[in-house]
Amino acid sequence: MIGVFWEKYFVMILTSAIGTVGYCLNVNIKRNKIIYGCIGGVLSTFLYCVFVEAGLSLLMQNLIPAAVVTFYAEVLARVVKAPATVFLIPSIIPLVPGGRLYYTMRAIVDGEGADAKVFAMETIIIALGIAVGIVVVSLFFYHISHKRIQFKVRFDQMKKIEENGE
Amino acid sequence: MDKEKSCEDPALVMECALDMGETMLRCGAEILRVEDTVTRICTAYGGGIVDVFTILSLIILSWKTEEGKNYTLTRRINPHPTDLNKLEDLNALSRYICDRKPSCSEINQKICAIMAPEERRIYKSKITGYVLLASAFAIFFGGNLRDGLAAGIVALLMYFWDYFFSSHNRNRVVYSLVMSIVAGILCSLSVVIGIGQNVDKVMIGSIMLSIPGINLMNALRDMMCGDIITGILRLAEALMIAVAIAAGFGIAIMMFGGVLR
Repeated sequence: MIGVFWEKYFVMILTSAIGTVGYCLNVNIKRNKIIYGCIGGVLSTFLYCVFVEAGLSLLMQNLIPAAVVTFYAEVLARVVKAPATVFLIPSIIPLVPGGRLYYTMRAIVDGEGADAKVFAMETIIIALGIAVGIVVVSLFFYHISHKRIQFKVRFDQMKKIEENGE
Repeated sequence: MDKEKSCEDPALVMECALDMGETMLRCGAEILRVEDTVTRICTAYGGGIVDVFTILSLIILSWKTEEGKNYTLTRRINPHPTDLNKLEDLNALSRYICDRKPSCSEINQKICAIMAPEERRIYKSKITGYVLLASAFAIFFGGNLRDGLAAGIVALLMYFWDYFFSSHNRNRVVYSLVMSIVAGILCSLSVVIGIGQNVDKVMIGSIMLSIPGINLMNALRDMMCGDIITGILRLAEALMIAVAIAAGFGIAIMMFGGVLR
């Protein structure tokens, strides 16, 4: 079972690792942080492959890896002290529906309306899945970390000014 | 808060805060991060009430100091390529400023050191990045080794295209359209010549080069934090770029319509 899985998806996982490193170099991430992005990319691809094999729906295949990877990036951001975006973007790249986008366009060019519709729907569903996965987890972290920055600073200051004035 | 530090000229402090905000926004930070940084710097240098309003191309900063004077500065932000390396440096710098409260000239120096325009040369790391990205994803989506090779060669040529033309262009949508047409033609040529075998896999590899991933991600994060305006602006830009990429490759396929099947 594991051997079959490995044989089937080994190329995907390996190329996702290489491609993620390429993307990190492309957007100029610091050299010592490329390895984290690479691990994130492999993680998301691995989970994607597992859920494809498990037969989940197209939405969940992308939602769960995106959520897990976001969790990974947000935790890492607090450990390594860097913006979460630095880890999140390379990790998401293997999930991006580049292939579906191409086939949608190809079907439109060839004038096959039915195919184009199916591919476009799939592209939108995948994008939606990734978006929801990211938003749910980062909203959770947002509520932990940004609870009191905006309003409390302001009203503390106002109170202080009032006290000084009197 | 000690009184010696807080008596620096508010206009200078605001200038510094805006410099930080502008540079962070240009490097691809979220709006919440920018507003937070600007507010923190202003409050670190002497209390008062700080109001920041930021959208994608504008920062308005209004500050009522503890003496009761009002100051307002506005800054127009010009587009700039995303650079996560600089963003990280700026983040560290803002932590440093709030901790140590250095003088304004020192802050200016550090910002200038980070944002110094890079010399325009051919970066080996970027070339490696382009080639690895394109060829790895050509194979990732089911191509064989020859497709990977073809995508790598196309990516190499696309790097030089970027190198010569990207600095002239302010409009990323039109630039993406032109770039995808050229990339599509190159991909088709590589298959016609016989380097690659499946034109679709080679093209998918090159599509991954120009996908607006960072825009889309920032749009999501902005909307989630409540900055709907900027979120919509960024989302619209990302979607338009995606459509432009698809249209560009479509045009290239139509040009080679009879040749490739």
